[in-house]
Amino acid sequence: MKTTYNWIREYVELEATPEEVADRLTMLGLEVESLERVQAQFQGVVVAQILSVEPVPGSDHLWLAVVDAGSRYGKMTVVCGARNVRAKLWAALALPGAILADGQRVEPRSFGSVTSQGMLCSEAELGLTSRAEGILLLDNGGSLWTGQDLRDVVGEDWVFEVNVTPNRPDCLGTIGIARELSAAWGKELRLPRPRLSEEPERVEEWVRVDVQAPEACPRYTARFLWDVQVAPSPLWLARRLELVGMRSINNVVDVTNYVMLEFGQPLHAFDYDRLDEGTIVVKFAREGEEFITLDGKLRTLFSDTLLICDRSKPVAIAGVMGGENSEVSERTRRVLLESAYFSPDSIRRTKRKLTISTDSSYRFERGVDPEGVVAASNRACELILRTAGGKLARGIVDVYPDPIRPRTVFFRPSRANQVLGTAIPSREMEGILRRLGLEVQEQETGYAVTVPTFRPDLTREIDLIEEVARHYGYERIHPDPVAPIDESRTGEGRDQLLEKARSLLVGLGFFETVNLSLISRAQAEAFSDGPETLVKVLNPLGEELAWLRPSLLPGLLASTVRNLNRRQPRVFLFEWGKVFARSADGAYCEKMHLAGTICGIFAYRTWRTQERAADFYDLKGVVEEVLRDLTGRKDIRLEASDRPWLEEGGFALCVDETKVGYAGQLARDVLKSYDCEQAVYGFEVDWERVKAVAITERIYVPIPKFPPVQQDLALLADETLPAGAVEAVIWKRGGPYLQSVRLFDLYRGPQIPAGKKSLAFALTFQAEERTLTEQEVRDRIEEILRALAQELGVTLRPR
Amino acid sequence: MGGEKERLLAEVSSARERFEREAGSVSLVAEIDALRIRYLGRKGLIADFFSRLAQLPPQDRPVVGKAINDLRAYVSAEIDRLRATAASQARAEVVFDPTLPGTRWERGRFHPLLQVLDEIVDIFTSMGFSVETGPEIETDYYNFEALNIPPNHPSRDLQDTFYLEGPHLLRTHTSPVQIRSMEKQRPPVRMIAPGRCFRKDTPDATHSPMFHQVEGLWVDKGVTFAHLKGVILAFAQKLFGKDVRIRFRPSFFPFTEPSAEYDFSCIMCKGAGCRICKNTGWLEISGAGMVDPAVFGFVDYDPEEYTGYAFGMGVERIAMLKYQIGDIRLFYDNDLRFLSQF
Ligand SMILES: [Zn+2]
Repeated sequence: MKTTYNWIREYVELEATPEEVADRLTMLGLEVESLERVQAQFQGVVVAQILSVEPVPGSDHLWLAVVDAGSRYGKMTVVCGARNVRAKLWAALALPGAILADGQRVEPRSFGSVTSQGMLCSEAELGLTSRAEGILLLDNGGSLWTGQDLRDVVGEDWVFEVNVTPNRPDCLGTIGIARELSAAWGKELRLPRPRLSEEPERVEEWVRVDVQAPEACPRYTARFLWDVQVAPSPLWLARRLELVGMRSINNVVDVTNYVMLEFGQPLHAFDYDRLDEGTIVVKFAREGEEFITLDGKLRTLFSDTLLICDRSKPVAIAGVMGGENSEVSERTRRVLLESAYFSPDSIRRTKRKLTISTDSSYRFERGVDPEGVVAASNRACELILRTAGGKLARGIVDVYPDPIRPRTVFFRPSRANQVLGTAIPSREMEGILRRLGLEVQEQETGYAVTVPTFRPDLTREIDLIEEVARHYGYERIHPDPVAPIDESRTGEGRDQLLEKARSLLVGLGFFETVNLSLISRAQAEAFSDGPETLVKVLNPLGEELAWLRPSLLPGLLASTVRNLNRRQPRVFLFEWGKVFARSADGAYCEKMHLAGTICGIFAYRTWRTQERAADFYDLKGVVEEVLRDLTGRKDIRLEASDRPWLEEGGFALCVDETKVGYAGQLARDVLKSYDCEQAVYGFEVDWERVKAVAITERIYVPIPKFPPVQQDLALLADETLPAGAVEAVIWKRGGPYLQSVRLFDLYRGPQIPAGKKSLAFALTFQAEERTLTEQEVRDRIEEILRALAQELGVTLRPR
Repeated sequence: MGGEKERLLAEVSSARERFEREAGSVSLVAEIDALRIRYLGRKGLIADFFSRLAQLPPQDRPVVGKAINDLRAYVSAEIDRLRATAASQARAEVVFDPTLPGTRWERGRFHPLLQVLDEIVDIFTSMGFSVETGPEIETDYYNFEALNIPPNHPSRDLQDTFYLEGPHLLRTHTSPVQIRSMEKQRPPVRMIAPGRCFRKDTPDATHSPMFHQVEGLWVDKGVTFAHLKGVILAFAQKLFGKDVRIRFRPSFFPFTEPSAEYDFSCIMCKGAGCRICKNTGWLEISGAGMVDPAVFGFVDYDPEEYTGYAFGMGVERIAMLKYQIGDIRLFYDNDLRFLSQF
C-alpha cells in the first residue's frame, strides 16, 4: 500500500517529519518499506494566463499564443502545438533558461517568421504525471497568480510504501493509516464529510438491484449520476494517483480509485447506458460461462464465481474486475456507481480459480468495512461532481438484508499484563483502545469493548491485548531474563552419533556440503529404485527443481563436477540429510542419509612422496574406519551388490547381518551424464540403520601383559584369487591367539611366476595369560600353510 | 699343537681381507663404530687373536704376534681414516633443514551454514531447550491449519508452497514440529526445531527455494512477552556479543498474537548506520510472538492456564550477516574455495 505524507495530513495533523512518521508507522506494525521524497524536477516555470491564440502563419498544427506571465516577466509570445490551448486558460510557462524534468533547457526558438520566447508545458515535460498529450491546464480557484513559481503550486511530497499485514484491511486506505497515527499521537482524526447536492429525482427511478446471493454479497449499494463529462482528471487527482503508482485514466475512474486508496473501499463505475434496463442482479455464474473482463481477456467462469449482471448479461466479476461491455468511456454520460461488501471467502475463491488479483480483490478478500460502504460511495459522488460535473440522483439503493453488527469483546487489563509481563495501568489501556476507535465500557472485572466493523481482525481478548501492546510500545516492555532450566525435563540434544560422523569425516579430509533437496528428473532417476518410487513436486519452479532427491549422491556429484570444472584437483565431499521416496501404496517416506564422494588426488606430490590418485581402496578404507568407529564393530563387510548407479553394481556395506548402505565407483554412464571424465567413488548409508546397529557404549578390555609374537608370511597365490579369501583362511586356522592379520605387500613381477602374485601378511599372536612359545606359533603357521595349500593352492614364496 | 700357529696366521690374514671388504661398504659414523668394536673392542676379533696367541708355544709367538700387531695397526689407521672422511662428508651432505615444508595433512571443513546452525542450537540447548525434528514432507494440517492458517486465508499468500499429492506439501517452516511436539506432551514444553524448509522462491542473491530455519517454543504457566524479549536478547548477545541490542516491532503471524518482527542492532556499525543495515542501524532477523490461543485449541492446551512464546529465525540470514556473505546461493554451490574459508 502506497500513500503520501500530504495525503495523510488531510486526515490528521502531523507535527512529525516524514522520516518520523515512517519510524512511527514501522513501530506500530505498519512497516514502511520505502520513503521517497518527490520534488519538482523543473525550474524557471511560472503560472501564466493565455490571453490569445491564433494559428501560426503557414502552419496547420502550430498555434501562436500570447500569455501573461505577471508583472515581473510581462507578456510573452509562445508557439505551441497542443490542441487544448485556449484563450483565458491558466497554464505552466517555461521561461527562457528554464530546465524541464528531463534536463532539457528552454531557449527562444524561431518558427519561420515568428519567435517562441518560452514554452507551454505538458505534465510529462514537468515530470508531474505521465500525461504528455496537451499542455497542463491549471485549475484556478483563485489561488493562483500570474508569475507565481510553479514549484510553489505543485509542492514536494513524500511517498510511503507501507507493508500492510493481511490482518489489517483497514490500513489498505490512507484513512486507516492516519487513524493509527492519530491514536499514537493523540491527535484528532478528521474524516471527509462530503456535502452532496442531490437532485429531486430519486435513484430508484433509474436503478433496481436484485441480490440473489446474499451470503456472497451481504451488502450492495448503487448511486446514479447523469450529465457527467468524462475527461482527463485534474492535475491534483492524476498526480496523486501516479505518485502512489496508479495510472490516471479519466476523472470518473480516477475518483473510484482515489476513494479506494482513501477509504480502502473498492468502487466500480458502470456506464449506465450500457446496462440493460438499469438493473443490477448479483448472482453466481454458470459453470463454464464466458466473460470478457475490461483487460480484454476472455475468462471462463465457475459456478461459485459471483457476477454482477444486468437484466440480460454479466457486466462484472464481483469485487474483482469489471467487464469490457460496461466500462466508463469518454462517451459515458450516465454512471451507476457500485459500492458493496462482498464476502472475503467468495472473492478469494474467485481470485484463486481465475488467477486474477486486482487492487479490488486484494481488499475484498481481506475484508472491507461493511459499514463504510455508503460513506465511500458518498465521497466518490462528491468528487465526481467536482471533477466531472453532472447531477446526482437523490438517495442510494442499499440492499443490506442482514446488517453486520459490531462485535463486543470482553477485555481484562489483568490478563493483558499477565500475557505481556507488564504493569500497564488499566486507564492507559482504556485510552489506547478508545483512541483506536473502539468503544470501551467499564465493567466489574474488566471492559466490554465494542469493535467497529472496520477492524474485522479484533475478535478475541488476545487481539485487544495486541492492540494495547502495539500502542503502549513493544520497546517499553522490558526483557525478562530466561527462566531457569527445569531440571525435570531432559531435553534431547543433537544427534550425537551424527556429530561424531561429521567430525570423523571432516578430520579425514572431507568437506561438508549442503545440496538442494530438489533435483531434475534425470538426476533423480539415475539414483532411484525405479521411476515409480520418485517424489514429484506438483508446482515446481522449473524442471531442474521438480523432483525430491532419492539419494544424496546426485547432489554430491553435481558439486564435485562444479569443483572439477573450477580446476580443484582434490574433491572430497560429504552430506547428511533427508532423501525421499514413495512406497508401492503411494505413501511418501523420507529417510536420513549420510553420503560421501571422493575424486581426484588423494595425496599430493611432495618433496619426499609421490602423487597418488584417490581410488576404490581409499573409499573402502574411510568407510570401514568410519563405520567401525560409529557402530563399535571390528568387522565391516563389503558384499557384491546391484546398484545401477555403481560400477558393476558396487558393494553393500554390512554390519553384522544389516545392510546399512552402499559403496563403490560411480557408474561411467552416470558420470557421463554429468559430463564428468574423472573417476568418482562414493558411499551412502541409511542413517537410521547405522544408528540401529550402533553400539555406542565401550567396555574396557584389559591391555595384554604378555608380549605379542609377530610372524610374516610371504605367499604365492593365483592372480585370480582374492586376497580376502586368503585372509579368511588365515583367520579360520589361526587359532585363539591370532590377534591381527595385515597385508603389507602385494607384488607381481619378474621374480615370481607368471599368473601368480605374492601376498605378504604380518600375523600377530598374543595370549592374555602367558607368553606364547615359539613352538606354539610355529605349529599354527604350519596349520595355516597346510590349509592354504589344500584349500586355495597357495604356497609359501620360495626365498 | 703344530697346526694352531698356521691356522691363526691364516685367520689373521683373512680377517684383514674381510676388514678391507667391510670397510669399503661403511660410511655412517655408527657403522664405523660398529666395525671398530667388532675388530678392536675388548671382546673384539683382535683381542681374541691376542688371547689365542698366549696359548701358543713361546717360539711361535714372535711371528704370529707381529702379524696380529700389524693387523691392529692397520685396522686402527683405517678406522681413523674412515672416521675423518665420514665426519667431513656428514657436514657436506646431510644438513637438517627445518625450513622444508611440513607434511601436508588433508582435512575437510564443516559447512559454514551448519556451523552457524550448530552454534544457534548450542546456545538454545544451553538455555534448556530440547532439540526436536519432524518430517520435511508435511501435511496441510501441520504446516497450516493447526497453525491457525485456514484454507483460503490471505496469510497463505505470505508463503508460496511446493505441493505434493493429496494433503502433502514441503514444509514452509519448521513450525509444524511445534504442533507435533505439543501433541506428544503436556506443558511445560521448551524446544527448538532446526531444519530445512522450502518455499517457491526463484533463486537470487537473497532467495532460495530451500533454506534452513530454527524455531523455538516455550509453553508453560506464566510465560510472558517479556520472557520472549528476554530469550531473544540473551540469544543475540551470545551470538554477536554483549553490546548487541534488540528491537521488537509489531507484525502479524496467524500462529502468534501479539506478533512481532525482531531486529538486532547492526553488528557492523553498532547501530550508527551503514550499507549492511541500509543506514537504519538495525538488522531484520525474523518473527516471534505469543502462541495464539487458537493454536492451543488444536493441541488441546487450555489457553487460560498456559501461555507460550514462539520465535523463528533464518539460519542463512544469520550466517550471511556473520560472515558478510552477499549471495545466499554460495551456501548450496559447495565451491571448495568458499567452503575452505570457514
Ligand atoms: Zn549498520
